[in-house]
Amino acid sequence: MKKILIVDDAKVIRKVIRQILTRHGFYIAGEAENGREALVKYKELKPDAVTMDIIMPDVDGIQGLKDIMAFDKQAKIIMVSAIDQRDALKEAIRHGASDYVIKPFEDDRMITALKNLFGEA
Amino acid sequence: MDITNDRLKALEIIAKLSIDNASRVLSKSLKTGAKISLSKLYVADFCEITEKMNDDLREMAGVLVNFKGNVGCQLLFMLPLEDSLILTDLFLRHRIGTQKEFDDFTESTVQEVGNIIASHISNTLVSNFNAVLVPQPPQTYNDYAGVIFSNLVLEQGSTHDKLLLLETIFEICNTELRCYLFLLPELTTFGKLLDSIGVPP
Amino acid sequence: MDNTRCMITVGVGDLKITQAPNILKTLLGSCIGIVLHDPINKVGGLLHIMLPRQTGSDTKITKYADPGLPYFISQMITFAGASRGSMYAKIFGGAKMFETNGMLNIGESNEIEVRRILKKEGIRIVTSKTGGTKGYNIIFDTETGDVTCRIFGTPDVIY
Repeated sequence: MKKILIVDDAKVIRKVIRQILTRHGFYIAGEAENGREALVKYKELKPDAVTMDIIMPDVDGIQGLKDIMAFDKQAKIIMVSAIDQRDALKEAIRHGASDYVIKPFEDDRMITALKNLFGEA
Repeated sequence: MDITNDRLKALEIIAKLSIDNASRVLSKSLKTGAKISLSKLYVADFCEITEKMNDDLREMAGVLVNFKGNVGCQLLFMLPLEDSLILTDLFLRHRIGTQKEFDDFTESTVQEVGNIIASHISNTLVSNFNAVLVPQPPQTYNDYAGVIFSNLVLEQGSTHDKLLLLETIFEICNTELRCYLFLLPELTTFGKLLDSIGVPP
Repeated sequence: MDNTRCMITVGVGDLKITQAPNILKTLLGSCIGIVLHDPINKVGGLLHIMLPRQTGSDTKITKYADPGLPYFISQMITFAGASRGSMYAKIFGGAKMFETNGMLNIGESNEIEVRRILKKEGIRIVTSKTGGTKGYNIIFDTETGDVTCRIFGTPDVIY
């Protein structure tokens, strides 16, 4: 069972993602509220993949992405954000994001994104 | 406040395009229709509008979003406290009536809906008008309507006596829910955007 | 309520002065509401300030403790018939409303400036309720001098 770390400052989104992933056979390794916590939890929990919001207080998702990729070049990180802008997409891709899901998202979109990471789609 | 009718009209079109997008996004988030029942752009006297809002003692849940970029703007999304429970049920796909009290999840739902609306408004301005605009992490409130509204207008009101305000009311289909959305554009930076798309001053 | 009493709402950055027995009311967040009452001459006023000091020159002075509050005091005396000796003040609001941007701790700064000016002007503060993180609904009865204050989520308290 693949272990996922969920990173989002909104508790309700963490719950929604948790419910979707659990229903589809993923295990939730942990949760974080910003990019700073994400790096700490990544090192501690060693998840198979991360879902990462972008707009978060303290350390945002792009910085969180950069920090985790600097720690682990093989990290699999899906950005999950309502920001649908070319610059944000370019930034995410440039720093190693594996996918980019736009909020609000359908359950299928999230699951396909994750399964693609593990060659299961 | 010096703004020509042509510019007001252009701003209204831009704002309504963004709001239309926001209503589509709100519908998608809640898996039900979000109908715009009122949308108007107007110049408000700061003291008069806050005096009117200071009579509004309804208990509201609200989220204030500032934007960073080359266009200044603030957004306030708010709804009555009891309606935020219904919003939470809709967002989580629960039966209406499941959420019984205002808690972390309710606050977080209002925060996230505000964030999603703000992001999609900025997406519209970026993709259609080459603006540089990204929302900042939202600030949530659970307070009197008038107090929350004051927080929206405070920064611009400190240096201006007149404000340009876009007010939108959404009705959520199949419910009694009414949500309020206020957009407060910063006139100088929006003026530059209008310059860039060729609207004469 | 007595039909001859008017309920007068005060907006942000605004000042209203009235004769007894009218009621003045407002909502406060990070702003400070300053009530001045002269029970002898039966006049009262409410100033709703949003910032401690005026920085530009082209907006209403009543938005600022300085110079709005000295202006308020002079208006009470010069035009409303109040006497400096019989006037007292009550202050409310100054909540912490913002976690980000330049408005951080503005409530506290507002209160400090209001207290400084009232002290300088020799006006006694007989009671105050400030701080917290929620809005204040205040209703000032110019007949009795009572201020009914309801902080969001809590019961009425009379000051």
